[in-house]
Formats: sequence, structure tokens, C-alpha cells
Amino acid sequence: MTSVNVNFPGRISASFSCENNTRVVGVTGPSGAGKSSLLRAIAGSEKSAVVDCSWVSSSRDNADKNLNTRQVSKVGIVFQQPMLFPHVDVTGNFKLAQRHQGVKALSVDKAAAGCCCEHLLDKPISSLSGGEAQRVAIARALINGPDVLLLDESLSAVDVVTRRKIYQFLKQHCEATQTTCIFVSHDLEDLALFSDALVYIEDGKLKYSGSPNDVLSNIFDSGLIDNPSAVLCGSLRDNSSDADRLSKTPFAETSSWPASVKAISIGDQTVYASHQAAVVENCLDSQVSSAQHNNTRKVSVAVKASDVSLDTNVSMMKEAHTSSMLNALLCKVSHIAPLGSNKEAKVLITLSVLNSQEHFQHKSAFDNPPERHQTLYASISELSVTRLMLKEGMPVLARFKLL
Amino acid sequence: MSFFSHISDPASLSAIALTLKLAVITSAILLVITLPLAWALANWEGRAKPFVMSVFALPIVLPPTVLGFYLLIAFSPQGWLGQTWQTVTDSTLAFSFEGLVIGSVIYSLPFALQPLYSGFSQFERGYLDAAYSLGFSKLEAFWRIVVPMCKASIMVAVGLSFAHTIGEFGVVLMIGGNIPSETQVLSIALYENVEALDYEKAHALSLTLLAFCFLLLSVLYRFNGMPLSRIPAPSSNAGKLSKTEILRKTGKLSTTEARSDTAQKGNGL
Repeated sequence: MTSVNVNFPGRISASFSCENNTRVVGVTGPSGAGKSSLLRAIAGSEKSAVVDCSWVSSSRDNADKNLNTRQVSKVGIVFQQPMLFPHVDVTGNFKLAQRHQGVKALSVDKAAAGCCCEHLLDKPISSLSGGEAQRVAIARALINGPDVLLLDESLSAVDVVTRRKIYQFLKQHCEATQTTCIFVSHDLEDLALFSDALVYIEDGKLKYSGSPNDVLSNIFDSGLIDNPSAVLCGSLRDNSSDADRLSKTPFAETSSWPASVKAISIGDQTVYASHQAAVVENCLDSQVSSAQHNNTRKVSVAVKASDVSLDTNVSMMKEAHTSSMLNALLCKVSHIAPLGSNKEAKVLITLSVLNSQEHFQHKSAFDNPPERHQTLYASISELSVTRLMLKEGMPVLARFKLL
Repeated sequence: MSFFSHISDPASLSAIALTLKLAVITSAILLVITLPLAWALANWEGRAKPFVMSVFALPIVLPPTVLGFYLLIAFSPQGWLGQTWQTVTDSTLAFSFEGLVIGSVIYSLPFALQPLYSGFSQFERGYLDAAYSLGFSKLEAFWRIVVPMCKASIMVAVGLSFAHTIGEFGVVLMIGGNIPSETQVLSIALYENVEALDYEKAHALSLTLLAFCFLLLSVLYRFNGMPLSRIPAPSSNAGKLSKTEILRKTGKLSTTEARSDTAQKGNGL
């Protein structure tokens, strides 16, 4: 089990522990809460902090004696300021990182490819943009190969598409090499999509910790976040096997089903997401053929509350093609609460995604254990709530786009 | 006699050679001493720091004769330093080249220390954190990261201590005397020529010193990042933006940070 215990007088007092199979831990909290101090303390950069961490790898690497018997873990930290050494170029930075490589070190080629900075190798540091420098800094850390990688808003200047690619690569790397990664981010979607566990810090103290969904719903319930987002998990549907069903849709008449659009099964419902929006779990097991694997590949998509509109006409479900919004998920209103400071008269609706079969067979959703339902958020105006007469327990269609 | 014959006569040549030898040895010793000293001072935050810094800066303001006088007393066979030296090397320290080197090192120390100190104090500590997180030891981080990044300050330190040693007069006169090819450096030879009313020779030596010092300082300022003209910048960085400029353009740098970076560029001089 991984456990972290940090006592930094006057700044941080926090301890948390994670399950064995937790590889990526997200850290968030308001500005000035002490997230950076926490990471600096863990990295050993703060002299006055008392830090007691144990980084124990999961049982899977029991076979790997080399990893298990090492007492001291190599901790690498990447700051928001990339701190690339300006007296050498990008390759020079990588070479300096190779001087003290750990056993989990990546080759320059792999790290550069994973962090999207292959084209930057010969560039002087002064010519890099903020986002490029951040990518190089992460690649440099991976080439060094720490057992514990700390990322302090290290991708804050990188665009969302590249950022998610890199997070995905990092997650894959962490799972393959049993590296623990703790990353600080303000982007709740990134945290929800990529972390195995989430820690929320406020005023130097740990406020919430646990699974990303639990912590995020705690954060959203506290009403501090203006625009919560939910993560829906489903399985990737093979495009070819959908051809049948698609032929009945007007979409198929265009005869081009763009490969960049992913169909995702959530329960017995389907949502469509663009290639960029969908985070497909990496298939690490190369033994399984990709076609076989596709059916079981897990996909996550993040949906912002502000992107979701509600429709109380649930009967529209079956002939859903009167709206340009591709996605219409049958949900049940589970909670209605004012959002944020409430100056804008907005309301946050918490929805739980239903199985359409259940609904149309008039089975009560309440019969099912609640964890079977995924959560979705919608922020709508108070006026809409009144007009639609929304009440808890009501079935609604949640429409949103993921393109 | 012509200008060149004044310069190339054996006495002048030996004075020039001695001066260069003294300057090279002094700046080499100073570099070895001041690199760790300046780094330690830049990282030290003690109450006694102003006093310690003042001690190291004293040679800048003190008349060289004051320094020379006390050095002469210390170097004399009755003084503790001179006595120790005599038992170890079996020769006197006063009026010797070795004595001159010690005197020059003390006299020029602040000129090597100050540029290094200001360069090191402005060194962004985040680079060290990054280096340590990559597994570097303190010494390794200093050699591989700090020293190459503070190259400009180091060049200024070496250049200034070299130039200052060449221009030394008072201390040499007090502790070295005027022994040809042993302690008779250029400035002393020049003084002797003036005393002997050999103005033509004095003129030749003066002009040589003047031209040499001007050249040295120009090279120093050039390496310290001062472009020859403002537009277009003819430096080696031509065509690529400095980090500061990029940060400023992207609005990531506050004006205070920008100022400190500019100050760093012009450190020491």
C-alpha cells in the first residue's frame, strides 16, 4: 500500500494512503491550498517538512525482486516552470537526465514520442514555447526514470488534446513500470479521466480523498465549482459491428461513418464521442488481437455540466433524430441543488444514468443497487427547473455533444 | 628610438612577461578560491554576512599602500607569514615573486568575488531543485548546471581580476620593490622611467598598457552580453529570442522578474 504522510509546519499537514493497484493519484484544491508545497515536501525540496512516505508496489511485481527490495525510492518532480537547463539544448537536457537513470527509465525515443516532443530534440531551450518546454520537462523526468513521479501542474500550458495524449501515455507508463505518479491539476476533467485516486486539499489540510468519483461528487456538492463535469465510463463499440444498426439511421446514408467518432456503450445506451474527447484505455496486452480487444476496451468521456441540456419528453428516446445533439442518455434526476454562489440563478442537477430497458419495461430504477448507475451533471437555469417542473426521481433525457 | 624599440628592449619585455605571468597566476588562483567562496556566500544567510562581505570588499576601497604596508609587515622574516614561509621554502617572502602573487590575490579578490557573487545570488534555485530531482549530487549540480549557466559571470570575474592585477601598483611597490625580472612589473617599470625622466619610454609603456586594458575590457563587456549596436543584435543569439523575451511576449513574466533578468545580464560591470 502506498502511504504519504507530510507534516510541514505552518503549511501542510496531510496524510493519505492508496490501494495497491493505485498508480496515478490526482491532487487538487484551491490556489494557495498547499498543493505545490505538498509535492515539494514529498520530493524532499522542503528542508523543514517531516515526510514519511512508503511506496510499495503492487503484488504483481513480487516476482521482480529488484523493484521490491530497494528501500529508497527515487522521487522525480516536474514543476509548472519546466526548469530546463538553458545552457544545453533539448537533447542535452535528456543526456543530463540519463546520468542518474533509474531502473524504470525510458529511452529518449520513447519518452520523446510519448510526450509529443520528437520534433524538438535539436532545439535550444530558449526557442521553446511554454507548452513545448513543459512537455520536454516531463520527457526529461521519464528518461531519468523515477519510481515516484510528481507533476506539479506540469501540463498547464499544453493544449487539451495533446495534454490528454500525454496523460494517457503517462498512465500507461505508470501501469507498465509500476511507477507511482502524483499529479496536481486544476482541470477536474483531467483528474477524473486519469487518476485512480483523488486528493482534495484546502488550507494545507486534506479535505477529501478516495476514488475520483467520490471526491469529485464531494467537491461538486460543496458548490465551489462553477462548472462540474462528470466522467462516463463505457466500452468501445467496434465501428464495423455497428454498421447494421447504423444503416437504419440517416447518418449511414452519407455512407461515411468517420473513424474519428467513437461509439461507446454505456449500459444499453450508446453515446458518440470524437476521437479527442474519448479516452480509450490502453491495451497493454499485445497478445490479444485488437479486434478482440476492442469489444472490451474501456472508454471514458468527460461531460461538462454546462454542456448538458435536459428534455422531459422521454418518449422521444426511440426516435431520437430530431436534434443535432447526437447523444441522448436516459437518466433519472437524483438531486437538485443551487450551483455556486447562485448569483446567476443556476441549478446543478445530478443525474443517474439509467438502462433504457429498465425504464421502458417499467421497472423501478430504485430496485437496482445505486452504484450501477453512473452520474452525470447538468447545470441549467432556475427558470428551466420551474418550467419543466423537475423533481427528484423524474426520468429525463440528457442531451450533450462530445465532439 | 622608435616606439617599438622601446617596447622590445629586454628590460621592457621582461617587465611585460612578468606582468602577464603574475596576472595569469593570480587570476587562476582567484578562480579556484572564489568559485566555492562566492557560492557559499550566495547561499549563506547569517547575521554576520554584512561584516564578512565587508572584509572581502575592503581591498576595493582601501588605499593599496595600506594593504601593502600590512602585507610587508606580515611577509617580513620577523612576521608570522614570512617566518613560516622561510622555514618551509628556505627563502624570503618579501620582495619575491611569490610574495607578489599572494599580495595580488588578496588585492584583486573582490574583483573576482563580486561578479561571481552577484551571478550566483541571481541564479534561479529552481534549476537546482530540478537537478537534484534528476539525481544530481550537490557538487555535480554545481559543476554541470551552475558553472555553465553562470559562464558570463565567471568570465567577468577572471577578466576583471586579470585586468586589475595588470593595473596594480601600490601593493607591488610596497611588498615587491623593484627587482628586474623578479618583481619589476610594467607599472613599476613605467614609474622608474618617469623618475629617470625617460618620458619617451614611459610613453611607450603607458600606451601599450592603455591599449591592452581597453581591449581586455571591450572583450569582457562583449562576452557579458552587451551587443555592439542595438539593432540588429549581432550577438551569437541573433535570430533567436532570449527566454526573457519569450516569457515577456507570452505575458508569463512580471516586470520585476524581467528587470532581475536584465540585471543579471549586466552583472558585475
